[in-house]
Amino acid sequence: MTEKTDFSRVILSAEEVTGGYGQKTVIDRCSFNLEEGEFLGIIGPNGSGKTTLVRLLTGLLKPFSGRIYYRGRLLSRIPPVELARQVAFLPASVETTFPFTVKEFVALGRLPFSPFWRPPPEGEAVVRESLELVDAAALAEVSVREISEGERQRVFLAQALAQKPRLLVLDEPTAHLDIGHQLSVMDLLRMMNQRQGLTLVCVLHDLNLSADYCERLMLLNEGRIFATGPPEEVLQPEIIEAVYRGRVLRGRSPATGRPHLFGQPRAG
Amino acid sequence: MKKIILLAAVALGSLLVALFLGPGKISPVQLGCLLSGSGVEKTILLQIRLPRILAGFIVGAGLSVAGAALQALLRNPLAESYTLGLSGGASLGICLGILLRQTLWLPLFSFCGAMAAMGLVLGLSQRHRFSGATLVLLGVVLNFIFSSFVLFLLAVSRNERFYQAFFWLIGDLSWFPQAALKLAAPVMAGVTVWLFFQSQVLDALSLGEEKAATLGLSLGAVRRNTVVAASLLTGCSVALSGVVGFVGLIVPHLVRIMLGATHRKVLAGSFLLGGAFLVFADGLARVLIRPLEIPVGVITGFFGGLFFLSLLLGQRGRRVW
Repeated sequence: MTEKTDFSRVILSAEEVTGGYGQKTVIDRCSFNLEEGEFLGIIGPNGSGKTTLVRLLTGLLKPFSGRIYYRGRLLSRIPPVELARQVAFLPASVETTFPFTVKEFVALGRLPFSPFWRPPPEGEAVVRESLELVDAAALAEVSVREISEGERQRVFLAQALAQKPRLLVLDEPTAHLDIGHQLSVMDLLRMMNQRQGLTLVCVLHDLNLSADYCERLMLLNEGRIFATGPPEEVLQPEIIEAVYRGRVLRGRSPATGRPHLFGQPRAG
Repeated sequence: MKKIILLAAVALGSLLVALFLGPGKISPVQLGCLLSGSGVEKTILLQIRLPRILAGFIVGAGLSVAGAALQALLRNPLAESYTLGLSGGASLGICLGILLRQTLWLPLFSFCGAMAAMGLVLGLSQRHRFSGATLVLLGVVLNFIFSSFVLFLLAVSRNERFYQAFFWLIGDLSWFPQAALKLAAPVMAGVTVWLFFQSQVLDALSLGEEKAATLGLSLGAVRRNTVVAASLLTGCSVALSGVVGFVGLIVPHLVRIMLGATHRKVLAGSFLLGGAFLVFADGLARVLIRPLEIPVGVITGFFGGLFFLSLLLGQRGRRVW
C-alpha cells in the first residue's frame, strides 16, 4: 500500500503525531505525508479521531508529541496570520450569530491579507470570484441567517476559498446536506483540485462519497491510521468490517465505477 | 454612509435638545442671552446640566459599544454589561470605593469589579458549557448576588450617602462625582477608538473560535483584550451612573437592523445611537413628572425589559439566539 513519496512535493507531513484533550489521547502516533495537489479523504468510525486529526493538522490543537511540518517548516513555528494565508479550514460548524450579508461573510476570508485597521483591499474581486465559484453570486446581499442549509454550506466554502489557500482542510462538509447539495459541494472541491491544483484534506462520513471523489483514503481506527491508499485498496470488506464492526458487501457505482459498500442487515 | 451621518445628526440633536430639558425651563431663544450673561441659569446650564448630558452620552455610548463587543466575543446577542453581571460587579467595586473614600478613583474600583465579574462569568461558562440564554441566567444570578453585597455594605456602614447609593443600583445621573467624569471620558474615548480598529477581529470572533483562529487571530490575546476593553467601558459607565440596564442590548440590536452586522458599522452606530439614547432617556427622566426626577435606570429598565420580552416572544419566527 505504500507508494513512492516525492518529498519535494510534500506539503504537509506528520511524524509520530500524538494528541488529544487534557489527559485524553485521541490521536496516537500517526505518521503520513500529503503531497501537493492531492485529494485525501479521512474516514473512520465515530470517535476514531478524525476531527482531532484535522485540528492538529491546522494548528488548532498542539500535539502532545511528534511533529507536523507544513512545507518543510514546523507548523507550530509559523505565525497564525502567515499560516492563514496558505491553509484554510472549514470546521464542522461555523456560527452565523449575526446577520452579515453573504458578501460581507465571504469577505472575512480576506482577513489574513488585510491590515487590521482597514476593510479587506483588493478583496472585492476575489470575493466576487469565490461567490461565483460556489454559485452564490445572486445571494450576495442576503443575510447569512436567511439562506438554506445547503446555500449556507456553499457560502462557508466560498469564505474558505476567498483565503486563496494552497491547502484546504474540511471537516465533514457534506453533513446535513441532501444528495443534490452533497454532489454540488464535492463537485466543486474536485474542480478546484483538478483545475487549480488545490490540495484537499476532507473528513467524510459517507464511505461511498469518499470513494467517488478522493484519490486517496486514510482510514482511522481508535486514533491510529488503520489503512491508507486508493479507495480501491482501502474500501475492502475485510478492512471495513474489522474497523466498523458491521457486515458489508462490495459492489461498484454505476456512475463512477468506483468501489461502493453496501451494509448487510442481519437476517431475521 | 448616509445612515451613519444621519445617526451622527441624531446624536448631536439629542445633546442640544437635552440642554433645554429640565426642572427649570429654558427656551432656545433664552439660551443666547443666558450664555452671554452671568446669571444663576448660566451656572445651572454649564456647571450642572452640561456635565450631566456629557455623562449621559458617555454612559450610553460606552455601554452600547461594550455590549457589541461582548456579543461578538461570546457569540450571543443577549450579552451585555448588565445581563452578564458586569455592571453588578462594577457597582460592588464602587461601593467599596465609597466606603474607602476614594472618590477620585471610583472608575478604577468600578473597572476592577467589572473585571472580576467577567472572570467569574467566563470561568463558569467555560467549565459548565453555558451558552445562549443560560449564560444570561448566570449573569442575572451574579447581579443579584452583587447587589445583595452592595445593600449589605450600605446597611452596615450607615453611610450618609445611603439614599444616593441606593439609586446607584437602579442607574441614575442626577448625581455623579465630576472628578470621575474627567477620568472616564478619555478612557472611554480611547477604548472605543481602539475597539473600532479591532472591528474586523470582532467580525472574525463571531464566526466561532476555530474559524477565527484559522483566519490568523491569536485567540488568547484577542479575547483578553476584548474582555479588558468591555470591562473598562462598563467600569467607566457604572462609575458615572450606576447600573443602567439593557442599553447595551437594545442599541447594537437596532444598529444591526439599521446599518448591517459588520462591527465597523455596529461599533460606530452603537456609539452614536447609544449616546443619544441615554441622553434622551435621561431628558425624559427629568421632565416626565416635573418637578420630580426619576432615575434614568427606571426608563431604560422599562423599555429594555419590553424590548427583551419582544425578542423572547418573537423568537419563534426568526431565532434571535
